[in-house]
Amino acid sequence: MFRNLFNPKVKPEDKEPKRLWLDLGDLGDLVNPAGPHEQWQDHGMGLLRTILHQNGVMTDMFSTRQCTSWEEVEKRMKGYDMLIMNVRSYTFPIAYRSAQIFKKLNPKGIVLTGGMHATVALDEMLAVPEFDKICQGPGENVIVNLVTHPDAFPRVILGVGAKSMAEWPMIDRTLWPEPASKKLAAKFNWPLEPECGWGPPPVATILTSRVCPWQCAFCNENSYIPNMGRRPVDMVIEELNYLDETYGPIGSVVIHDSMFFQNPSWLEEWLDKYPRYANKTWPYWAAARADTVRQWPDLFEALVRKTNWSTVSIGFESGSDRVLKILNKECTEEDNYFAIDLLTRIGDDMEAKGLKPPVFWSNIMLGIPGETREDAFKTMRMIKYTKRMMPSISFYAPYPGSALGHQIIAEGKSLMSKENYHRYPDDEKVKGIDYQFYRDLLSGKYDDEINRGLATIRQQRTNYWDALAKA
Amino acid sequence: MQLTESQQRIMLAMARGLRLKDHRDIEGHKTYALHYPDDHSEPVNPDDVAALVERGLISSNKKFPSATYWLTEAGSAAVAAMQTEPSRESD
Repeated sequence: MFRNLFNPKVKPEDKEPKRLWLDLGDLGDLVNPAGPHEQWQDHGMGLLRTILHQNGVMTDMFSTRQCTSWEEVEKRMKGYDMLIMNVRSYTFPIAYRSAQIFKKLNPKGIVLTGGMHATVALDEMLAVPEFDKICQGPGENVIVNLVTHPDAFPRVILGVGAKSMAEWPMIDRTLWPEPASKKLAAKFNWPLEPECGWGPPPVATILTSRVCPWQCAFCNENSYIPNMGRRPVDMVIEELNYLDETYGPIGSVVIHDSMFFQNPSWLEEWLDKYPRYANKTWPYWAAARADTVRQWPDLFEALVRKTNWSTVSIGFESGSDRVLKILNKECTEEDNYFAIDLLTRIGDDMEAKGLKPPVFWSNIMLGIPGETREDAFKTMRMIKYTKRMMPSISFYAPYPGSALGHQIIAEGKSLMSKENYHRYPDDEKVKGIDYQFYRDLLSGKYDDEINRGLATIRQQRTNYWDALAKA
Repeated sequence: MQLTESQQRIMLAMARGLRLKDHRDIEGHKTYALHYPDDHSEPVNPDDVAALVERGLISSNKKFPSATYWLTEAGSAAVAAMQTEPSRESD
């Protein structure tokens, strides 16, 4: 039981303080959202509130996403002794403003913060006097004591995480915020989640692993979050079956892991058990890397075919070896094309058998420092070459916390600043990048150039597959 | 279903290289606008954007609080068809 593991001494106080957990996000996102992703729920908040409640430490909760004005936020914040917030970089401005409102209404109240932004941008968190406590890193093994005895902690606390996700309790999803309009509630499927184009609703989002162990220069999350044991396959399936029976029927699953396709022994167990023991082999979205697909192609193919891995997320990022090296992606053009060809072949075969073929969800970056026009053409050719892909294309952004981001900022080339990078509304994020070229590229002005090289690649890849088939 | 004039206008503008973006500001206001190279922008009707997405003619990078849209292959084909119509050439 989690209570005994982490805080055996907690006793309910005679008079419990009134604690508010504020779920953060843009105003209106749970009223009238424009897209699917801003409706997703916060697993960190779900986990930590579940731990608190299982230890008898109760919190009220509402979400800024449920409100359409700051006046509404203010009305709901009055009369609390404590405000708790999980702060991410994109919610930092919301957290800042919420803390100011909270302190104005409840001058003696205390504000506890944590989350990824506290971990990667402590200086910004420290600069906000309303943040009384700032917890860096994972919070599951410190949250109960911190919330019940905040005065016993310094302003900055180094969080303590579990050694394994097996120690995590199953999230009580009813502790997540509900959609706040009838229109949204009708299609949201709370406490499951709405569909976003990756599989049928209702969607169950889960985590099976934490942290991608690679060190891509635009991310580097592994530098900030300690590694921990993966959630056992049995526990993942048990949770999905519980959700299906309690809130379902589930339509599809999103495995939110930064990197699902790692740790072959876990994947082999998933391959064996998910089709046998899950109430249904629900289609799912999960992430891989092109190089690991090339390293373990048989395992990849078996997972796609037998476990209904219907949407394969791979951050190909670029179709050029030069740029992949700049990004320290540790993948090559050949890795990318290998993964694309393999999924295409599997998809064609499934389609021929009357089955729905799997697709790529792929993050692609353009406007990377050092990228030439020919590099960008190669990336666009790779996208056009891919038969079944949902591309998510964006311009490179030099975020602090990543190695490349730090370098661009240090060189004075970032157009983003501490004041605006969280909500940067423009495309132009790095000095010296010819963004008009990229806009023209995306609007199709260079399609002739791109298509010229495409025929050659198709021919080369055909020869490659022919050679493999004959070997 | 035929595209409305304002929907066609958005697509032709995107084909000319203007960027269609949405943005939710910290006050919770969601706006959709076509951005010109000189950085001025022109608001567009959210219903038009939703209709074009629904028909698969445009897609976005699904980022928030600000997403960028582009023409899909079907959208590019629709633009090519529009541009062959004499009445649209002046747009």
